[in-house]
Amino acid sequence: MYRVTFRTRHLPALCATLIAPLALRAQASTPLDAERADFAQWLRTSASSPYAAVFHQPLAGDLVFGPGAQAALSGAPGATLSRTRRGLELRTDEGRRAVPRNRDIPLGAWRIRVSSSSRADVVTVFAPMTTPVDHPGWFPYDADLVIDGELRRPEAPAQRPMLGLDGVEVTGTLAGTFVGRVSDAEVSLTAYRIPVPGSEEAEVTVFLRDGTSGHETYPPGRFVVLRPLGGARYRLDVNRARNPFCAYNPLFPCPLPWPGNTLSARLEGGELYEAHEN
Amino acid sequence: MKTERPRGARRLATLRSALPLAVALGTVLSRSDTALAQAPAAPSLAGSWRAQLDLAGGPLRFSMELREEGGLSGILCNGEACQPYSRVEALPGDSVLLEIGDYAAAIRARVTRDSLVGSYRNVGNRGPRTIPFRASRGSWPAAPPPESILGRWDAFFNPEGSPSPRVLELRRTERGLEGTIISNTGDSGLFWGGMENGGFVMSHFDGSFVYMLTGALEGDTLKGIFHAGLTSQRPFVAVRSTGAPHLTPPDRLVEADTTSAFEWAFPDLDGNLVTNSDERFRGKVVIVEIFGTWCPTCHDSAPIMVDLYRRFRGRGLEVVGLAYEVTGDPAIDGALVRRFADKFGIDYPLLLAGVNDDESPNATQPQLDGPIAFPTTIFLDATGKVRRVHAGFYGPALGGMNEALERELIEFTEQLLGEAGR
Repeated sequence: MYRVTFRTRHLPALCATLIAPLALRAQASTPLDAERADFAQWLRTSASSPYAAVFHQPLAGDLVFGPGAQAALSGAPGATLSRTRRGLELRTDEGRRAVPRNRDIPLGAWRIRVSSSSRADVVTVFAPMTTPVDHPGWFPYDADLVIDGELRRPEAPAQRPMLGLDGVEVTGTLAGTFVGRVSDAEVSLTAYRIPVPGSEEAEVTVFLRDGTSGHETYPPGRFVVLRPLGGARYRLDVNRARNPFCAYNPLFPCPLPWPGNTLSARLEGGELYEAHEN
Repeated sequence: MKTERPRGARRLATLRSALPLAVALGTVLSRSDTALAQAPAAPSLAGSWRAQLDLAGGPLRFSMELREEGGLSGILCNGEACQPYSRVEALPGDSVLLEIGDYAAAIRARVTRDSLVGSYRNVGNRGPRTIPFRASRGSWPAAPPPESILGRWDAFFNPEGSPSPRVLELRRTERGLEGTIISNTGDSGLFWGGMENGGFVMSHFDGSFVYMLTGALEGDTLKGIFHAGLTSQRPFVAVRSTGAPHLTPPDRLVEADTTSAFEWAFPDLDGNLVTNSDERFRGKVVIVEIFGTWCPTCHDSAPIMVDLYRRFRGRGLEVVGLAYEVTGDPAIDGALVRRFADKFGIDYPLLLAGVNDDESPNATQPQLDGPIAFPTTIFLDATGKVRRVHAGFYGPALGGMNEALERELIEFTEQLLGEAGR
């Protein structure tokens, strides 16, 4: 009798102990789950997570860091960032150092990144995160939102400046029009090749709005990188829709919705959004 | 149809369903010591592995050699071009970590007796990215290419958008198909591969760059796709080179101020300022090498600079390396440059000139006009004026072009030394 009582009382904990690791492994068993877990971990813990940004503005003249300065970082060592004949330079009490673009450098407990755009150098300062990040998560996976379609070539080559996922301005090249079907309705979306600075990569990307935008998802829209399937065939997987960085932190500039890329249907897939309190 | 069962029956059912679990647990607990003692040894990682990254456009193949003597270590190879993993570590749960420290990248994979399955991961400014990784024991077969695709091809990437010129060099070796892609500023390192489904497949993976070139001959035109990363694909077309210049010649990419002495003033690795007016350089022929330790092509050119210096320093040649490094932090960049110097046995001064972003090299070299490639080699005559600027470098992946360039650099150095009466 004792043994039965023991077993029944402890069964949930016992099962949890045995099954939880299996369940956790199962949760991260698909590539998409693993991607999401990795990305959420990066958002929560990376020293240069967009959530950690405390300052973001174009560099115009010298930029002074420190308590009471233009970039008022409480407790940060005094420093001045300047454009010089030798490139970008950070002056502190300890001396001068060159500042590479698109990479983080430390300033006390803070990190500074100068993102290079076609129009300006943009300075972002990241502070140590002291409060836990509450990422809103993702819609559950929906296989119906994996849309295979055709990328129709543009009538004429075109390029235009645009904000990428990270709020950095780049020159996008028109890739064409992606045409596919969702729930028996045809969708047609403009796609651009958006270069990744410092690499040979240029991913065919759409920035789209849909019936969830402004409700469960980010109002201006979300980015989806198209996966090539061979020839003119591409896959638009809405489950992989990602927010621009401005969704995590209003310091980042937000891309404007791309003309013609607003769908009336609700695409309940991809990254969710909760409005900032401020 | 659902039927409600009596409470007692449900408890019995729960117990019944839990019984196997409890028995299994008891078995595990009672045998745990024995099981641990008799646990099969973890599978050995040592040996050759045929590895691949699963890109959207197909598998990018490379090879690995893992060793266990004196601790875990390993190399990854594209054809004959190999580089060591910075760390190989067995992780709990029969997994292994293959770290490529220079690029903050790593492969994590679960180990079974004869396979590794996991992912390659690196972190950029937009967050982490992963690409599926697999490996099995053995080596990739060499599929020799037909004569019809070998040789030099003049290519355009993005032929229908904003065309960008490249030259493809394809050759047959005992390992199959090898070659490289040459742009206006140098080559992309060694690509290795073979024939598949009537076309060719070549790849280059060095921990940072994930590149693959696929294509086929259609009539007298090569058509295909340049793959970069998991999903990026850019079409190319190429026609057989006629010998007419397709790329801007390396010595015409950058114009230089030749009216006055070429100037520099940067700290060496000990923090001492080194300038062009130092006694060491006065009245001598000088080669100024703009380089970065992060730049694979600079690793190709360094042995040539070392050879030139050793060959001609007795006749009055000086060489100075201007490093544009990754962080701008003298301590970190200095350590990287020291390691570079040790690797190649460099005994000429290496100076910390700046960082390798889009603007810094041009900003710090106001006497040069044009995009600065890595490496860029500047020849100064004995009066200190620029006589020639060579952008980029043809590495060993280019075979004959590499040898021809080496001869050319030697001859030009000798010419300048001769003019100086040395």
